Amino acid sequence: MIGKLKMQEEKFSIDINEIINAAIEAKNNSLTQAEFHKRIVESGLSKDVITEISKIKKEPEWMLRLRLKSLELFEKLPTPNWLPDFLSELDVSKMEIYIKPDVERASSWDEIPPEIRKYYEQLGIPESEKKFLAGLVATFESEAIYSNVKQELAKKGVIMMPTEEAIQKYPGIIKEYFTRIFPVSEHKFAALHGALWSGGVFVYVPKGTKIATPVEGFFVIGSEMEGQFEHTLIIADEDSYIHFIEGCSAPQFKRFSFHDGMVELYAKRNAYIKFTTVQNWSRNVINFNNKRAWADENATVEWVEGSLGSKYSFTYPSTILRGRNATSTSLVVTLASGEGEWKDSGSKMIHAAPYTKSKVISKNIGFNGGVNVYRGLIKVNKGAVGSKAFVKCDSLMLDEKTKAYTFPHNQVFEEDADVAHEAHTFRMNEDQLFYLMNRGIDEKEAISMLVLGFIDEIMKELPFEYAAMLNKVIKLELDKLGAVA
Amino acid sequence: MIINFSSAQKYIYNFENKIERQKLLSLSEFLPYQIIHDSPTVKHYTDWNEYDKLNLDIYPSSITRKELLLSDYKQIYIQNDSIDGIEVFDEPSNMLIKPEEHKLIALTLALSKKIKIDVKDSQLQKIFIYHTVTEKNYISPINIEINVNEDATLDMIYLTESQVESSLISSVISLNIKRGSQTNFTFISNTPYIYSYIKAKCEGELNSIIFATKSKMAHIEYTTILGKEARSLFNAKAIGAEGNKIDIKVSVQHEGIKSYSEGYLKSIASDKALVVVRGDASINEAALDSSTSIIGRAYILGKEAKAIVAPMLEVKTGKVAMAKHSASVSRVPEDLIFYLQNRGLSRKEAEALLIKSFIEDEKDPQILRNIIEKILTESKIIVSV
Repeated sequence: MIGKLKMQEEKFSIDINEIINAAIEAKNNSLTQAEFHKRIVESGLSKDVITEISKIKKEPEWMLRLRLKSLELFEKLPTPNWLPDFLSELDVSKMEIYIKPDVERASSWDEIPPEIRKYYEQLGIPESEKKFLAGLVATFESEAIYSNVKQELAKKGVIMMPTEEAIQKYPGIIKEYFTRIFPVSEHKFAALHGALWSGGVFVYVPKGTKIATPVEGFFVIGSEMEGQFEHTLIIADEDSYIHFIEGCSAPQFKRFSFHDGMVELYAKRNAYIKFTTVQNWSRNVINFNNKRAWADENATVEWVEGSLGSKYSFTYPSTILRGRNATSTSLVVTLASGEGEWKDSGSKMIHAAPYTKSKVISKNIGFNGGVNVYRGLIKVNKGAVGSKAFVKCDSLMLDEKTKAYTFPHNQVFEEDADVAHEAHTFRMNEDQLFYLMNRGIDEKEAISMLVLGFIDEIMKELPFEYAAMLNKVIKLELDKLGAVA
Repeated sequence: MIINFSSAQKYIYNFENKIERQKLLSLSEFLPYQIIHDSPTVKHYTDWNEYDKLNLDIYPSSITRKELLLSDYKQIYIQNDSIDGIEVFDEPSNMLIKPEEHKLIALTLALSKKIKIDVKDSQLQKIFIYHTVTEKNYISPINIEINVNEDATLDMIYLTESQVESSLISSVISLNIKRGSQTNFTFISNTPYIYSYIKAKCEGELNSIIFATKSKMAHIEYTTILGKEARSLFNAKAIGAEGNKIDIKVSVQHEGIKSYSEGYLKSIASDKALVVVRGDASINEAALDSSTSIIGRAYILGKEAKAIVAPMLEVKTGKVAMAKHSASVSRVPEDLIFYLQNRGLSRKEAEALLIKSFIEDEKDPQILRNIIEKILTESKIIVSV
């Protein structure tokens, strides 16, 4: 079935396992480019398939060219060495690109893993939301609430629609910015995304428009936000404000276990974008996320990222500070709570203009043998006078089996700049634990208090209900932890 | 090419073990300088092209001048390919360092003579190795093995100094420090081109200072492997002036329980210099209750100067006593200058004072202090007032 076009069912099947295995073999130099190409074609990914997908989606010529160019780059670019070999061990599902999106949903509760169902009960999620989160229904049942949000946005002239729809309606603007902020030539999996992207959301906030309440893309746009290769592009025009929330803190069942999305943000002069991601997917997922922002003069980009779920996750929210006085912050929490779980995160801040400021705060929590990795970069270009950057990355390890790595890079090419970096790896503070337990708080409760205290800086940035949900989720995760020695 | 191949091959014929040296030479040809794409963020910190364009020769040469620098130290003198003051061995291998570890290690082992230092007495031994190159377009390689036995004490200084702009000093040094012993190791590089790889296996106590300056290209890699309850204190520093490129990488691997490491990375980049100081601390699964701290500071002086600090941490067990690092890059802090100006110092004086106190350490041997002082004045980083 692999590699075969099955038009009658309107779907293509691509063997992602095979693609990952081939990429890993290519990394270890045992595959030539021609052999790699052959393997990729055999996995079901070829020029013809891409052309067909583009045709069915009725895409303009330039988009097809971009997809084909990306495919070519995917085959040409070397596999990054940081890609761990163990990725090939996880049996990821075949990617199936359906033309009718409804077909891809899990069809009944029976398909949802019991631990996720248990979670929903323990978290007290309403029945209607449960079905949505589990992917049983396409749109959220309390549609009415969100249609109000939609109306409100429309009234202000905000464009918010699936990226595919935007290509048809606003081809000019999409063509101008699509993969300009994050070029697909950057690395192999960005190129793969370029070739196969589908879904995602496009948001345009007009000049001077301020959206007071956070926009929950997941609920407003629905399943488009939750594709495998979704592409999100947000453009905040001058003097505008938006807080966009992607994902949600409740656990979500993902049927497709390979995820390679991309987020591009562009904050123009004086604009403000806050982009919050809370990802708590089921543990069968490999998650690549390519996130990058541009910040023009006086603009602010804030990344808030909670990487709780999935098995292997690679996400590095980055900002290029291109305009004078631009600011960016990045707050990242990762949780690696199981044997073999690998959470690779970190932020990149490129200071390319004078008086730019950046702050990165990364908090990693690990237990039960999970591995957390921080990989970051602060780069101050020549001419970015008066720039300031601060990085703090802390790892909390709750047991002996757990690992934490910190790989920061601070590159300063300008005399008049201040860059500071701090990292600390520690285990649960036994004194504090003892103190709390002495006051009658049981051990588990005390541990979760300390863990939540550890990520307090990031909790504060989340909307109340998200923080409350995250709180509960972390407590439930900690239940898996054996008694702390 | 870094080396004139026929010159190297011809030179090998002076040795006993020609076949093995030949193999090392071809291994060196085959190995890359660095595997790229090894990080999603950053690529090269050493400009390997600087080495690759040298096209060096090697031929037998003799010692022409010899000066005694430190009278209370046993002196070993290395000039070009000649060694004086100690027995020389014809062995193209090193006890801790494998040729596969790097292209230039294989090259150094293929061409070098070996010296062995064995410290047995509990009485303090003081050894000074002076390494210089006087021939033009020449590679001066050395292979050093140091054994510090139980309860012994060693104070060693390795100084490379050269004025020849087109020649390379390359050294492969291993230190085996046994339990209960103490070693002070000072490495000073003051030469246009240097490649140095130092590996220490430490079960006792190791205090080290690594310093580099005045290099068109310097790549110095210093790895310490710490056994049970071993201690390592280190200070890696660099001063870059003019168009200098300096890359110092210090890595500490904790392998035994309750091992301890503490280090400072300090650098000054002025003029057009690029100064990179990297520190990598890793605490392995078995190294329970270990502790590591690396603090990196860089001062940038001058519009074209570039400084990079990259302190890394790899903690593989949750049972750590402490693991932390910090790094900062800035100009000479304005508030400190202001403080001193308020006390009657001129701006220049205040800057000079702050820079000196930043880069100099109490533990530095006098010879290093003199060199630092000279560099700071010569390159006008501090102006004497």
